[in-house]
Amino acid sequence: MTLISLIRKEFQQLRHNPFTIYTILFYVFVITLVQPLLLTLDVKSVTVAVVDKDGSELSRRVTESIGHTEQLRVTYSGADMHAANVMLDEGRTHCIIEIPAGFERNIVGRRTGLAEPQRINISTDAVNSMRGIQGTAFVTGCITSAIKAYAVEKGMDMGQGDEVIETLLYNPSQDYRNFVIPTVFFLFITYICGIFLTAAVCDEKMRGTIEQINVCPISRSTYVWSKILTFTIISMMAFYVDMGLIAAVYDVVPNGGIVAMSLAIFMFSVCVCAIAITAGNLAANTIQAVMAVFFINYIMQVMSGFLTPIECMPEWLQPVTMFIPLRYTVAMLRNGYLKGANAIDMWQQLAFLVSLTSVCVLFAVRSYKRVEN
Amino acid sequence: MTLILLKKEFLHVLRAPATLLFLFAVPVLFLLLYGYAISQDVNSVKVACVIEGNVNDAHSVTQRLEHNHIFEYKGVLGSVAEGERMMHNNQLDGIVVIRRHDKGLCIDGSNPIVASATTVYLKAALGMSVNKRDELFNTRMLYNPQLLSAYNFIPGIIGLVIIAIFGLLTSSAIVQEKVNGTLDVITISPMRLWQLFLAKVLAYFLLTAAVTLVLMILSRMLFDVPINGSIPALIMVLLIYILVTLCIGFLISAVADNEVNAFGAHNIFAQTLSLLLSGAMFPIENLPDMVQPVCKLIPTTWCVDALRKLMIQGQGMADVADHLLVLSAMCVVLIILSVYKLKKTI
Repeated sequence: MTLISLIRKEFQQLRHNPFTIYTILFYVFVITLVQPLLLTLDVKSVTVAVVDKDGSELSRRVTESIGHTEQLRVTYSGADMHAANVMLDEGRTHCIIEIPAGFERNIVGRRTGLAEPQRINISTDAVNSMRGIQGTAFVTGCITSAIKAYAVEKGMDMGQGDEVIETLLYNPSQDYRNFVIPTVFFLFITYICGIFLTAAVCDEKMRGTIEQINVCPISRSTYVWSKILTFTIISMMAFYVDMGLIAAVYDVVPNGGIVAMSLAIFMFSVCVCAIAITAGNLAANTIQAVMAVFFINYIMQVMSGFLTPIECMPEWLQPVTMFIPLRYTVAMLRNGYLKGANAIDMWQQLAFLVSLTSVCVLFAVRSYKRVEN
Repeated sequence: MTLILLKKEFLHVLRAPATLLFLFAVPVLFLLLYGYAISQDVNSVKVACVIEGNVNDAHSVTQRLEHNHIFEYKGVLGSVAEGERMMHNNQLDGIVVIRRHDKGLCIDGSNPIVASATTVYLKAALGMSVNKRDELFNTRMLYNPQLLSAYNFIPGIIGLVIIAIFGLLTSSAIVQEKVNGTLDVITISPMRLWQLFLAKVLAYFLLTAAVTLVLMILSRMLFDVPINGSIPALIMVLLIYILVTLCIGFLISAVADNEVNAFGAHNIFAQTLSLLLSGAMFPIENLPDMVQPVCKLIPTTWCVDALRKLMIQGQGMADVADHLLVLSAMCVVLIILSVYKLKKTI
């Protein structure tokens, strides 16, 4: 009963600060919805400059075939290598393809063994290494198939490679978006349950309203749970609303495991709230509390494997991720959304998440002291 | 007079040693975490084999997988279904199906980065035709021949850290004085408004510049990120960018009436938008066309692009003239806005 009236008090405090409400709405309706468009580390668009010194039918075909692919866009096509280099330096193109003079003749001659093989030069801007690798792969693949098609037409044998049959499970379109969508919910939790809650805790201290709570017959854990549950209720609601919105906008529907995912979201927001309350209680001023929470949030984001796989991290760092609650949340959301795994499949993750959360809540309750020392 | 105020601002910071610790420790830890943890280099792939039918040379294939240090080889499984079950529990990234006449790869596609790496590694290890076309091409990776993720991410992190930490600090700077009531003390003193503003900006500016210097040195020492381009240009870009982020903080601080709102506003406008839209983490060219103009409004976009040009690509002052111009313009607009807003508040 006390708990319920305390939760009502929290909601009233939120209502009296309309800015908080706007921020929550902004996160639920704008940030979460826009995120799937933004969070892509895969390579979708590579700009290419084709320097054609050959000017033959084959080189024209190669240029055309590059223009026809989805990922490559031709920004320059001509014979001036210098112009292409300038474009690369200015960032207007990612890749230069230089087709040497006499290339077509060379391809024809190579079959009869008369000519030394002549090569196409490909220079790629590799500041972004992923784009460098994948861009080069797109370009070489594209040119190879253009040359093969030309060779077949002219009745030449270019030699066949072994055929490999590839099957991709779970995310056959290899869309990074499907990989990211399950995880867009937690950014909301880390900001609303984290930053806002810790600032609110400090605010009560600074305004002195905490003194009123201190003299009320409320146990420490009731007070802490009232704050935790308020924000957890908000994040659960946000989760369901966003799940519906994402299904409507992006057509990505979970394959099952709603219960498991709800549990993951619930546990994670309790955990973040507990961390925020601990920081708010321990800090000397608001800026310290916010910085601490903010930093913990960042550690969680980076180490949870939500952006880049945990397998890619250095080996000494990988065991540390065991203590990151977000790691289990992300794993559960992904397995639920993409593979439809249920709570029983993921009992290990759930167990880890529950135990980390309990530790955090324990800290939150212990850190709330009525007497300043 | 400004000097006295400057001293006061430093005292604010120095008398809360925990805050000062945060100011240096948090950016450094950020750099370390992002530098080490954000990596797209896949260096351990879990694979297993399934042999279908009577295959003579299966042994040679399994041995090749076993002796390749990239793979964590899990042995020969009874059936593909068994492998898929293991994949379901994240115990496998790929299955090689060895048949009499061909080989099949079955790859967990739920993480596209791991999936594409797994495919390439397996094909190479099995001696399949990934390199047949090599004789046609000379490929060259410019600027980042070792293909390190750090070259791309470190300039981004420096841009993000400055706006995240120091924008946060200044966004509370004036609000705190409002809430504590100390702003009233200053208003009744014979201090001019611009002096107050200048003192605050200068204090935080020096602090931020010091931290930025530490970050640059660390990124050079730990991650071998070079500074190939013009150093004066680099310093100019960073200093103007620092000024812009501080002014964003001051503007928020002048507008907000309590710290909860100030941090909330900083959170959305400075931090989340910079993280998502600046190209520091996520390439801008992947964004939908209608979002791309919005990116140009974010100062971090310009800073990170200039840093990449100057540090990695080795370009000079002339190549980042646009960036300097845009950042300076943003700076002037923000200063005018925040002084105007502050005048109204007082």
